[in-house]
Amino acid sequence: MDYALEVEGLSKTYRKRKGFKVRETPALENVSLRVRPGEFVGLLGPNGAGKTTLLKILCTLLLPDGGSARLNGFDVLKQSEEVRRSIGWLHGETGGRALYWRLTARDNLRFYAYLQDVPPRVARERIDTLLDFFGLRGDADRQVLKFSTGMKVKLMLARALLHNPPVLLMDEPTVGLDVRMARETRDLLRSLSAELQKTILFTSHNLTEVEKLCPRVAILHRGRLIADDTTPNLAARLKTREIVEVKAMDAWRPAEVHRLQRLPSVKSVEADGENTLALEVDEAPQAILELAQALGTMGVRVQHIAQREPRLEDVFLHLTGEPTTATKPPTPETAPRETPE
Amino acid sequence: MSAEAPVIALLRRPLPGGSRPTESKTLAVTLLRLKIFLSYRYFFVVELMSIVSLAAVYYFVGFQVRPEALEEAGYGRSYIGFALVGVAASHFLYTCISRIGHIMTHELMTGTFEAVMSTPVKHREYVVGQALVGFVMSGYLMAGVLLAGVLLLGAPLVATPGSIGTAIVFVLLLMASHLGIGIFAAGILMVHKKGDPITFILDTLTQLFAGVLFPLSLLKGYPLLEGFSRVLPFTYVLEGLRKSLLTGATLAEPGVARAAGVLVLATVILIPLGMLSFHRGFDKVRRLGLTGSY
Repeated sequence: MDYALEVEGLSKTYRKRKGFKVRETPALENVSLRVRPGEFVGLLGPNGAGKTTLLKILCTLLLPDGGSARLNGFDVLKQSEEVRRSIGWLHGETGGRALYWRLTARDNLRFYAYLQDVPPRVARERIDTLLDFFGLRGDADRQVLKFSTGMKVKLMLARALLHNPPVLLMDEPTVGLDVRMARETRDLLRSLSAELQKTILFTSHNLTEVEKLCPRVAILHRGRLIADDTTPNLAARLKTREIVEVKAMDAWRPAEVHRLQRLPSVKSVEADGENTLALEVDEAPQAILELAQALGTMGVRVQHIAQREPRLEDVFLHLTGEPTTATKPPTPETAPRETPE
Repeated sequence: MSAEAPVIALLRRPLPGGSRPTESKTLAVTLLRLKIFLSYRYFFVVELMSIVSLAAVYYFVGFQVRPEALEEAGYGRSYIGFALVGVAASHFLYTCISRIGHIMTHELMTGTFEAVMSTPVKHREYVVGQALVGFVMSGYLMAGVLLAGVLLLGAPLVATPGSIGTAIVFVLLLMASHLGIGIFAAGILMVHKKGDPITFILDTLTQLFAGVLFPLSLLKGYPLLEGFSRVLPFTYVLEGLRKSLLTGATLAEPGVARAAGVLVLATVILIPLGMLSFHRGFDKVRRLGLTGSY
């Protein structure tokens, strides 16, 4: 088997009938993607780009309109049972709702281990080890309804690994996890890929996370696969673009961001961490001079201003023209409240 | 040693092959639902009380009914016994079918339906498991109502080994013959999410035409309605249950055996139809992208 995942010309349009009219929303258009066994691929895209649609088709929970998909050598339409045996799926967006809340964590895992044909003795050992790893051993016999969102996501991760599937479809697996657990989960996924040759398709709105974790990134935008390459190769596409990073002492105000956006040398402005903006410019040295002057006029207290190498986030913005939820610049609605001067 | 090392070491070990038989996965689904049901501690008592109060109403209605009319139909002379069996069985059926719908809606809303359907579980294992739990959970209610009717309202039920054995056979046939309808309802609910037309129609039809509160001989002057009542499997369930519990009849009696035969036939027809509806419903929600409503 050359590919653990082979998607060819996949299309999906959602149709909703309203009276006599049928509203059509294209979700995937002719998407093709090949992933070798053991590859760790980040799947990126703005909200509504088609990431979850693609993962649900691969999980056999959604029927495509056209094209084909094979997972671990099995056709998702014709061999759905074998496909479902080969996957570990986590849908982080549900925030841990896809669990039986009135049952204990152990009962939940035991049930899914049973459905996945894991023998009881093996299941017991796996459940204990996974609960240990995710720090849930002490809560194993508590009802899930008493768990925090993070604990529920951990339990869903444990569930996805119980039957040791060759392919992991991780739809925002670190949502709701604390910093330490998110890091340990990333380490676990990295080890699963490197040491056990698990094929992993990983989606996240945290591009820094994807950049650190996934050697290869595929970007979906409005249902189309617009990029599929290694992270350095994707960044190299932005060689002609230059990025200037400006870190202020205080939070940016919407009016200030708006003014920077209107400067002749500035093409786009994105939030890039605490009090930091990343500006896409034509020529960095000249732009820095122009920026320094404008910032001085506005009375912005600047901590740091410098050119930096393009990152995955910049590539994403350049290709999709849309920020991820994590990188939207402040607007009057989202900006921190400040006392007017 | 890194934190993930034990997990990696554990998953290095290959999993023994082979899959579990269908019945065992069906049972796992049933047991899971039973555990969830038992976690609601007071639900059982409240439900039982509501049905016993309903049966008590018919105790008073019974004063208006001529015992001769019941005797002519072959159900003994006690209206409270007649109504008690009717009410207990129809509520058993109603709660079973509505529970299947309730469970289905809940699973769709929470996302557990998607989580289960992304495992190698077969449709029949999942849906029969869910449906069975509805019957099991409602079985205690039926037994409770009958017992309360005998002890509190003095309903004269015949309790010989033959009559009880025959009644149990008819309860099992009730479950089997209506399992298909429950699965059918689950298939419809999967697509439409809210509103359960099957449970509503079934409840209304059985109350009106299956003879829950009056003997079907009263419909003799209305051939269309009588004919309709003969199409409902529940009519035969009531016939068998009443003959056994009110007069002590067993399966050796031709009328009782015929009713059992009709129910076996209904089972053979309705279960495949129910499964077909479920498969079609599942394919439709997979086409529409509605496997989850969270």
